[in-house]
Amino acid sequence: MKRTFILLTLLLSLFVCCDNGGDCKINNVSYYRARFYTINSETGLEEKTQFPESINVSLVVNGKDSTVVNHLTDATDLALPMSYTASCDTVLIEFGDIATDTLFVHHTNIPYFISMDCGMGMYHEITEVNTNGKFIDSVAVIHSYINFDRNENIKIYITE
Amino acid sequence: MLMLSLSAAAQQTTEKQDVVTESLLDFRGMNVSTDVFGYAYSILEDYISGEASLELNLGNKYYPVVEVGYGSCNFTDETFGIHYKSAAPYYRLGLNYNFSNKRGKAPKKSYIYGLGRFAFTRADYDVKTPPVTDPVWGGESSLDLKGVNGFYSWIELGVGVNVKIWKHLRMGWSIRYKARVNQVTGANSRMWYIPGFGNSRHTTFGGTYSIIYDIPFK
Repeated sequence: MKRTFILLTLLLSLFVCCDNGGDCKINNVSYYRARFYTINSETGLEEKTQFPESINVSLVVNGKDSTVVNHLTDATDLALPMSYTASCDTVLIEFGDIATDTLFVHHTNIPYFISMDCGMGMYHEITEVNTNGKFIDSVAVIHSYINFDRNENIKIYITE
Repeated sequence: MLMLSLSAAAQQTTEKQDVVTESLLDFRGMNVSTDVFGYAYSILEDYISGEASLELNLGNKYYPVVEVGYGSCNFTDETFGIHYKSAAPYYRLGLNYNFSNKRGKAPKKSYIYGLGRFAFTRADYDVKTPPVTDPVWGGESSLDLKGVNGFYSWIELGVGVNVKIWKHLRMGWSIRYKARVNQVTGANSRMWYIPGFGNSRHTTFGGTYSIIYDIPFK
């Protein structure tokens, strides 16, 4: 009996260590993640790419402009917030002095009650992404649902 | 002759199996109990629960249990101002294992046991949140959900003590570790208060303090 009791106590102690609690984040803001790709002209396969020159990213929502990335070098990907209330965010990406391209990210907003400890967070779902196609060739949505998970949500294909 | 001997052998085997089965799962009685800890807990927290259980005694060693309860919560958080309201029944099925009793010896009046449960609840809840401001562009968003349906299942492991007080009356307590198995979330929320489990976490601890009545059997 003593052995069984000790085993049970050890088992319970093991489980106590496993609680990872809630999912609280600072400001409860969820970000969508975009990674840059090029298409290899010889193989036709996509390859991850980065920009040695600096890029600036500004977001325009309902006429309000907000700079979220300033002089980022060797950029491989971006993590950007979304508007809580608008259905389309305009993303201006300045690739050094080469070009300024625009993404139109259409989305739905999903207010989400997480818990009493974390409060309410804002999740989103991307419905469509358009680009004006100067430097950016095309965009593909791979994970449309945006929450606190660190998924890659969209692929941005750059012309070589 | 061959058929008769085969038939006799089969009968003997069946009888042997019956004897073994009866010694393992020999019905020795049953009891009903109610948990008073859930009522007392409402002094500390903004939720209350009550439950009753039915337990069978098999061979003074194994005790299959059914527990049925009802939990209720009506809470407003002071930090965020979120209001949450829910009330629903919950169900547990499981087994107690008596560590104290030995085979071939007289059963003890008081004993320590280990317990295992599978539990679940299906609850409707209301959530209302105050407006939250967009930190980048401004603008506000809020939630006012009513009658959202949630489902939550979990397992419990623990230990308990069962003590004879007077005639057919017993008292007992148990400490339980609870771990989530599955939950169904809504499009805009997840359950925060889970009847029979507590606040929404992956794991938690709970306890019972029960008054038990042994149903007399001849």
